[in-house]
Amino acid sequence: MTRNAAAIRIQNLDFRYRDGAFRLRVPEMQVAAGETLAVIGPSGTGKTTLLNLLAGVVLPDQGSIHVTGAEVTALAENARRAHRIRRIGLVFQEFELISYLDVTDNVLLPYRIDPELKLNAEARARAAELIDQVGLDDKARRRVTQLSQGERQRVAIARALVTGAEVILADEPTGNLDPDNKAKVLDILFAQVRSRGVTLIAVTHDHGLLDRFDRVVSFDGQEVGL
Amino acid sequence: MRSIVRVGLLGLGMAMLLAGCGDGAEKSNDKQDSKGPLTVAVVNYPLAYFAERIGGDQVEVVFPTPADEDPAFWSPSLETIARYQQADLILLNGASYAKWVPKATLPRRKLVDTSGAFADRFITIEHVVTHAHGPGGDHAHAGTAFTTWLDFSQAILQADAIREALVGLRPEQETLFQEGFAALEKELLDLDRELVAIGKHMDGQPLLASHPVYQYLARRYGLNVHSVMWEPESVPSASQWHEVAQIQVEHPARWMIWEGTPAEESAHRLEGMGVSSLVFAPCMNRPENGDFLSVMLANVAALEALCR
Amino acid sequence: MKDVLYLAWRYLASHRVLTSVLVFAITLILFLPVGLRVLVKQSERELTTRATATPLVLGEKGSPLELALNTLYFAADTPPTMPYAEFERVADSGLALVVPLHTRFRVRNQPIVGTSIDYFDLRGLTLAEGRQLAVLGDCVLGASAARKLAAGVGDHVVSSPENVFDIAGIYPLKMPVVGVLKRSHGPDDDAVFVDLKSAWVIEGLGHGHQDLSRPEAASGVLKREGDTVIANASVLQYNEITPDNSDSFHFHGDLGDFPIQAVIATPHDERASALLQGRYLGDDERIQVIRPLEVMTELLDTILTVQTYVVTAVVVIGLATLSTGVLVIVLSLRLRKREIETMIKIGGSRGRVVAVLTTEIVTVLGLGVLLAAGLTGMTAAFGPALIRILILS
Repeated sequence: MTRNAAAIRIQNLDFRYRDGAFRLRVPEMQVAAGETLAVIGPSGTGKTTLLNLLAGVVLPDQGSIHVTGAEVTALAENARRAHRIRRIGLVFQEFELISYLDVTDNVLLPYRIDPELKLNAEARARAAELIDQVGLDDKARRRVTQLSQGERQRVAIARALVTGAEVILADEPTGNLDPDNKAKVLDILFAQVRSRGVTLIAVTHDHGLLDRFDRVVSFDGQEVGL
Repeated sequence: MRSIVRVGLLGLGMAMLLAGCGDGAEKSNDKQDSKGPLTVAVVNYPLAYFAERIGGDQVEVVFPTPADEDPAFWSPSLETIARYQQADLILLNGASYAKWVPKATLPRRKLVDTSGAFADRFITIEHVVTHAHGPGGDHAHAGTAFTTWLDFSQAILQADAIREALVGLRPEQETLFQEGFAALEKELLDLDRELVAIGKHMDGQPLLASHPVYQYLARRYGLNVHSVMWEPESVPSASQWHEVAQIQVEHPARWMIWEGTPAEESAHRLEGMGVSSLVFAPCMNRPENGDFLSVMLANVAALEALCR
Repeated sequence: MKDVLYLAWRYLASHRVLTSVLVFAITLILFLPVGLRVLVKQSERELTTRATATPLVLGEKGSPLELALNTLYFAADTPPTMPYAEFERVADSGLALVVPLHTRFRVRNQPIVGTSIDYFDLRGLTLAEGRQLAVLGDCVLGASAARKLAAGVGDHVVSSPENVFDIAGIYPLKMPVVGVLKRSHGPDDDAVFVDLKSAWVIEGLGHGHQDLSRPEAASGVLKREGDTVIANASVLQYNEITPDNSDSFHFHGDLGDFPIQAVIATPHDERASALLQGRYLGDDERIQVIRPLEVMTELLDTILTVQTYVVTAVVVIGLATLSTGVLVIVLSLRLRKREIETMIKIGGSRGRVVAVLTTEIVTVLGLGVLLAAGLTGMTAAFGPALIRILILS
C-alpha cells in the first residue's frame, strides 16, 4: 500500500487518569491518510482513551497529537471542539443518535450544534447524498427509534461524514449488531472511507473483521509501540 | 452565549398585564355649556310673556302651541315633546293645566311649577264625572281650575317663580332678571289694584260667564260669577238658553263675560234677555294683536265699564 | 438561533405530554394569583365606579346592601317600596338632583326600570338609534336588552307577569320600543327603561279603558247615579298605550302614595348632602339614606379579605408546583445526560447545547406566560359580567 502523508501522528504521549489508576503511553504512532487501522486488545487497556485523545476530548499529560495537520494538543478547548466537528467523525457502539430527531436531522446534527457551520443547501445536499449512499433514502424522514440497529449505525456513519471529516474514529462500531447487520454496516463504512480517502481508526473486539483493515494494533499493555 | 441571551429576552419579554377592556361607556352628550340665551319652553302664553319680560335677551322662549289651539287641551307631537326635553327650563302653569304634561316624559330638574307657591289655594271644580269599577270603590277625576294668572296676585307669584328659576341658571344675570320682574310686577300690581276697586264697586252683582275659566278672577276680586259651557263662536242650543233662563231666576245677571267676541246672534239674544256681553279674554294663547298686558288692560277696561 | 429553536422545538414536540403538563402548571402558577388580582381589581372598579356616580340613595329602611344592589344593578330581589311623595319631598327641597327608580317588573329576564329622563344624564347614557322616552308607554332598551329580546326601534316588548297564576290583575303592558341605547358596559345595558308612570300602569295603579259615557261602553256600565258611573268588570281595559287611547289613561289615588323602590340623589354640595342625610337620621324614620360607595367599599373589604387568604393559598400551592416543575426539569436533564454528552463529544459547542436546553425551558415558560396572559386578558374582559353574576345572583 502506498503510504500517504500521516493523517495522525502521536509522539511521546503520556496520559494518566486523575486517580492515577490508569496510564497510557504511546511513544510513537503514525497513521497514514486513507489508512484503515484496527485497534484490538483486552478491556481497560486504553483503546477508547486513545480515541478520546485523538478526538481531542481529553488532553494527555505529555506529548503531542497531530490530526489532519492540526496539533490537537496545542489547541484550546473550543478550537479542539471545532476541529473535531469539522475534521473528525465519531461512530459509537451504542450509535448515540438523538431519539426525537428523524434520520435527516440526526445526520445534520453537527450543523445545528456548531455556531460556525452553516446549514445551507450544500450541507443538505451532502446529507441527502450520504443518506442515499448508506441505503436509507426511503427512510430519510423516519424517526431513528423506528429503525433497526443496523440502520441506526448507518445513520451514525452518515453523521460522522456529513461535515467532510478526514478521520473516522469508531469505537466498537459493530459491537451491538447481529452478524448480518455487522457485515452490512462494515461494508458501508469501508465503502465510504475508501471512496473518500478517509482515515479510519476502529476499536473492535471482533477478530473476524481484522482482515478488512490495512493494519492492526494490539493494546496489550500500557505502552504501545508502532 | 449570545444566543442564550437572545432566547432569554424573547421568552421573558411576554407582558402579563393586559388591561381590561376598560370602561368604554360613553359619557352624556349634555348640552354644551353655552352663554347664548337660555331656551325656556312654556305651556301657555302668560308664562311666555312673563319669561320674555323678565329674561329679556337672556332667554329664547319656546311656545309651540298653534295659535288656534287651546294650550290646556292641546297634545304636542313627539318632535315637540323632544323640544321641551331639550330646553334649559320648562315652565309649567300647575293646577293641572296642560293635560299632556302628566303623560309626557319631561326632565324633572328642568321643570318649574310656577304656581307651587299657592297650590294649597287651588280651586277644585265640582260636578266632574266619577266612576267605580273593580274592588277599589268610587274615585273621582278631580277637576282643578287652572286659569291661575287671572288672579294677578297669583300671576305675580308665578312671575317670581320664573325669575327665581332664571337666576338659578344664570346667577350672574340676577340684576337684569330682577329689573325685568320689578317692571312686570308693577304692571300686574296696577291691574290687581284696579280690579280690586272694580270688585268692590260691583259689590256682588251677579254676573254670568260663558265658560268656567274665571274662578280665580271671581275669588280674588269678589265677583259673583255663575258659569255656563258656551263657546263664543257657537250659538247656544235651546237647552243652553233654557239653562241660562233658569239661572237668571236665582242669579239675575245683567252681564255675561265672554272669553272672546261672541256670535252676534248670541249677543243679540242675550240682550233680549237683559244681559249685555263683555269680553274678558283669558289670553291663554298668543293674541292676534297686542300682548298679555294690552289684553288685560282691555279686559279691565271692559269690566270698568260696568261700574259706570 | 434558528437551529437552537429548531432543536428545542423538536424536543418539546416529541414530548407533548411532559411539555403540556409543565406549561399547564406554569400557567396556573402565574394565572391564579394574577388573575385573581385582576378580578379583584375589576370588582373594585365595577363596584366603586358606579357607586361613586351614585352619591346618595334613599329607600325604605332595611338592608343597605340590598338597597344599593337593587339601585345600582337592578338585582332581582326587590327591596321594600317607599312612597313617591318622598321623592317629591327631596326634589322640592332643592338640596339635590333626584331620580326615582321603580324596579319591580321584568320583560322576561330584563329588568324594567321606571324612572325619569334625568336618569340618562345621570348615567351618561346616549342613544344609538331611535329617540328618547316621550310619552306614556314608551320604552328605551339597553344595548344588551335589545339583543336578548331581539327587539329594536319599532318593535314591541311586553312586561312579564310576576308569576304564572297572576290573575290578580297586573296586566302585561305592551310597550313600543322607541330607542336603543349605546353600550355602556354596565347594568344599564340590560335594562328596559320606561317612564315611572308607565311602571305604575304595569303595576295596575293606572289604566286606560273605554269612555264610560259613550254608547259603545254601555255593556260595561253597571249603573249610573247622577254624575257617578259604576262600571262592571267587563269594561275593556287597554293593555297597550297608543296615540288613540292615551287620553283615556289615568291614575286613581294620590300619586304621592304610589310606590317606588329608590331615589337617587345628587346633592348640590357637601352642605346639601349633610342636610339631606340629616333629615333621615331619626329612629322613627321609615326612610334610610345610604352612600352606595360606603356600602360597596364594605363589600369590597370582605372580598379583599377573602382574596388575601386565597392568594396566600395559591402562592403556597404555586411554590410547591414550581418546585415540582423544577424537579421535573432537573430529572429530565439527567435523563438526557447521554444525549448532551454525545453532542459535546461529536464536537458540539457547549454554548449551543446549553442554548438549546435553555430555549426549551424558556419556551415552556413562555407558553405558560402567554397562556396565563391570555387567561388574564379574558378575566379582564369578562370580569365585570362575572362579578355581577357572582355577587348579584
